[in-house]
Amino acid sequence: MSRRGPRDGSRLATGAALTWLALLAVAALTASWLPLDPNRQDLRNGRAAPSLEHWFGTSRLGEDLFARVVHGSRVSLVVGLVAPLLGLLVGGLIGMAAGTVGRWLDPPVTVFIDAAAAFPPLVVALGLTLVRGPGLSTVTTTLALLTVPLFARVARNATLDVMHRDFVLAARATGTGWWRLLTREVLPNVIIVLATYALVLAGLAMLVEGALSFLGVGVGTDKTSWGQLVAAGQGDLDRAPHLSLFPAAALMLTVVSLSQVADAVGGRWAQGGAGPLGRTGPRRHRLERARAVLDTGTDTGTGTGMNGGLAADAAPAELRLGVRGLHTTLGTAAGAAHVVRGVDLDLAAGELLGLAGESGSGKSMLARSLVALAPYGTVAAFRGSVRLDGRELLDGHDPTRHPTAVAARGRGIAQVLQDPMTALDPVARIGPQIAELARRHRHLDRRRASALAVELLQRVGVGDAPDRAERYPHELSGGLRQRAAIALALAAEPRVLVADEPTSALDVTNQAVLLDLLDELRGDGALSVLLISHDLALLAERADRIAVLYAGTVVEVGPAAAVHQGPRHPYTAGLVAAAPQPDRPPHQRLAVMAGSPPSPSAMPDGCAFAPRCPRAEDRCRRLAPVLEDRSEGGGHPVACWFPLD
Amino acid sequence: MTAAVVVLVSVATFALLSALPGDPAVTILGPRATEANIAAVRRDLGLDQPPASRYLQWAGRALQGDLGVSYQTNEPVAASLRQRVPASLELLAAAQLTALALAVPLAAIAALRVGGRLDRAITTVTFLGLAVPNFGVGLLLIGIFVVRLGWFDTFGYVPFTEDPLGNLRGMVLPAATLALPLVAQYTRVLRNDLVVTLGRDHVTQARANGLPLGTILVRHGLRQSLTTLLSVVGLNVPTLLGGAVLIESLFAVPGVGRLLFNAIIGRDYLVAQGAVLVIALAAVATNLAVDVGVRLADPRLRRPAHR
Repeated sequence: MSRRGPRDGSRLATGAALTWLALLAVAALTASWLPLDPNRQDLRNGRAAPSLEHWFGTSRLGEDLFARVVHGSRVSLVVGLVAPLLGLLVGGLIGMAAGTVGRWLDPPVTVFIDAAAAFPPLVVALGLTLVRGPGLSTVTTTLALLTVPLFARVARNATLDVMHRDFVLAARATGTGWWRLLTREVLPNVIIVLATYALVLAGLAMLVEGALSFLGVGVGTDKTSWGQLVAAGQGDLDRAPHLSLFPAAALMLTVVSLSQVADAVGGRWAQGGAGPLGRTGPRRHRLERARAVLDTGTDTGTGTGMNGGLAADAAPAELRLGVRGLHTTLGTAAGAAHVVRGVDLDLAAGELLGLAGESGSGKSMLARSLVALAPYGTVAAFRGSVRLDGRELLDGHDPTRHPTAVAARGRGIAQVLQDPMTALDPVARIGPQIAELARRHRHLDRRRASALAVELLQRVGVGDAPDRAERYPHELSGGLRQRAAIALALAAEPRVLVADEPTSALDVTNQAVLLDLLDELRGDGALSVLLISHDLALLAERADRIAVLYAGTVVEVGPAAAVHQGPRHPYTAGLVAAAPQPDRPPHQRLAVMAGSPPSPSAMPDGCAFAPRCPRAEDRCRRLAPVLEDRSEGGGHPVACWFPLD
Repeated sequence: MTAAVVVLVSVATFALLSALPGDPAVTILGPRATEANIAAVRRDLGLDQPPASRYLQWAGRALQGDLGVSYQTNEPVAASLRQRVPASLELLAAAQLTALALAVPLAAIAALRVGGRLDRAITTVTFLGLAVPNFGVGLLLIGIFVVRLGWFDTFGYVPFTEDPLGNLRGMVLPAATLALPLVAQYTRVLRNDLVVTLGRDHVTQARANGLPLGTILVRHGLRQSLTTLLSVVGLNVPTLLGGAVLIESLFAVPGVGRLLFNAIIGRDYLVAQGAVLVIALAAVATNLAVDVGVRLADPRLRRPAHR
């Protein structure tokens, strides 16, 4: 059974659009040779309904409407082709020049663009028609003139965007002339934006030509255009609506086709940086794919006999959070991505567990999976067990919906995201943002929630909290913003706080202060902390235990010092070696691991680290190792066939 | 900057009108007028003077609120504009408000279900909506509601103060015709902006801390994304005010667009000049209003960070 892929729908539409446009071009080019006479009248057969002889019916005077529509396509083709092209040439050049040269050229161009926007297009159209008389060339010139400021605006904005990119800034700093900048850097980057826009404006030009011809100031009576045909049918709306309907439909179909092609061109160009929100196809398909992977239970990683390994890991006395065999798949256009692959984790009350790994190892997705949170715009399926104080969170019948996990967001497990610059709503005051969560989770009234927000800000060490609560995020420093984000996460009195790279955007002093704060918060055992970081040394200093994540699975877990000082997994060893350390002699090259983590949608057989591992043997490429402690005592669990001991 | 825009627009209009072939005096007197009569009328109208001095005279009077007198009706231009502007403004406001009232919830639904069936349906329909020719919609609505159903028997504009119900009856169809492409445009703009906003870190953080996506969209997302929409709404004002000739003709609404159209056709320069001035002022005023609105919505523009 073949299933339609997610992109097929849009590809089909683009194909249909191109076919229609091609057909139109052929019709317009060959219209004069076709055996279709748009002007032969047959007064006895006026306003005839569509028939085999007259496909679109006949006009009031008995002219064949199909022939007239085909001939009308010539006007649309000329208008849609020539006007945007002229406008693009002139407007594009003006806009790019203004954006590149800046200083003296930009202000007058901006005034020109603003004035053109305030100028009624009708005046231009009417004026030109009166000066030059109606006709195709007048309409085309008018439309070209009207598109000039539009192209100029788009070109200027796109140019300014390019001019502020790093590589152009560098080129400017080294004194590259503006002409060179324009032709080498700006033009190649802006041209695709302009081309896409030209396709949209081509459709718009056809619509406006229709409107002008409809008003009687268009191409003139000696030519046929779709707008004219619609207008001509106006009087017969009650008797013969098809007279207006067919030419209007032809016009509409053409405009839609042009927009579809523009979308396809623009989309193809934007695909590189589209991210997870790029065209990911219908939700239904992604959902099915995400589920399919979970249903077949493709446990490519560890996580089969998980508990055995952890038993040796000095199991924490009072278990706050217990994760067993957690799997997460994201449905994407490219297929299912298995991003969390059988993770086992324990977190004791009051414990600070460090979660280490490179970017792309699935750290953040693991954190979101604890509360069944799919990134916006994606569909994710979660399977396995997450127990918070003994209560199962992943209890949904549908792997994409887990109501208990959703209810635990904030109240049970709260999260602080990595970048304090973007972790708060930029257009809302800090205090009310915290109060909003407090009201929701603690059922406080407005006044009490505001008071609590100030109290929380004080608790995380924000000085002058009553004043700071009234401020917007951009008015605070990075360190203060990060504290505010933590206060936000504390608003619901969570039992587990997940801090995702909370220090990566801070300077060293602020880092230390923030980590002290996390230590302090867990002091009385009420709060457990999962601290996610790529910095193993930092975790070794602050965490009770460290779990190392690679390709969505835990490859090593143990007491912080043991993992840092005596890593057993080659990957952990690589992480340790890649970090600068004070006790190593200076001026020594840091060891950098070759390669990068495998793509979650294309996991290798066997051990996921094998392709990068210096110790890998044949067995590693065939069989995936399980997280366990096979040492003769004194070791900790590791998922490796040949651990370093 | 804004003054420069208004001046530039009025100069361009003046230049364009002066370049038109045909003589207002001939238009007024008819084809059989004598040379002497034509010369007399030209002198009366000041048309014998060079364009630059005519412009300066016009601009000087315009600054005092005097826009001159129509060549054809002898009515003061300001008075006939005052008569036409309410109908245009009402049409504009009705179309914009209808479009926003439909577009905001549609965009919100689409953004909440991004990639889902509803999102795709809304995106496709608005895509088609952008391609429908305005006059086609107008004709279709007339065909259905006037010809077939007979719900709106006659057209014509009645001032709201005279007959509120009749006024609204006359406004429904033209406002709907104007609003349709706007709904499509606004829905697409807002939906795309919301999708970007809802993908931001602070939204993920709010969701992870227990706020439902719908709540976030209403309290945090819309406020950020409305600024983009506001700019687009503002850009449409001059077009709707002066470019709605087609709709005004179809539905017999006595608006500024038709006044301008007829003035240019009839070489009624001062009327045309006045109408363009009103439109340019409206455009500039909207731009300022949008700027203020965006500032109100975005504290980063209102209260720059103090370092």
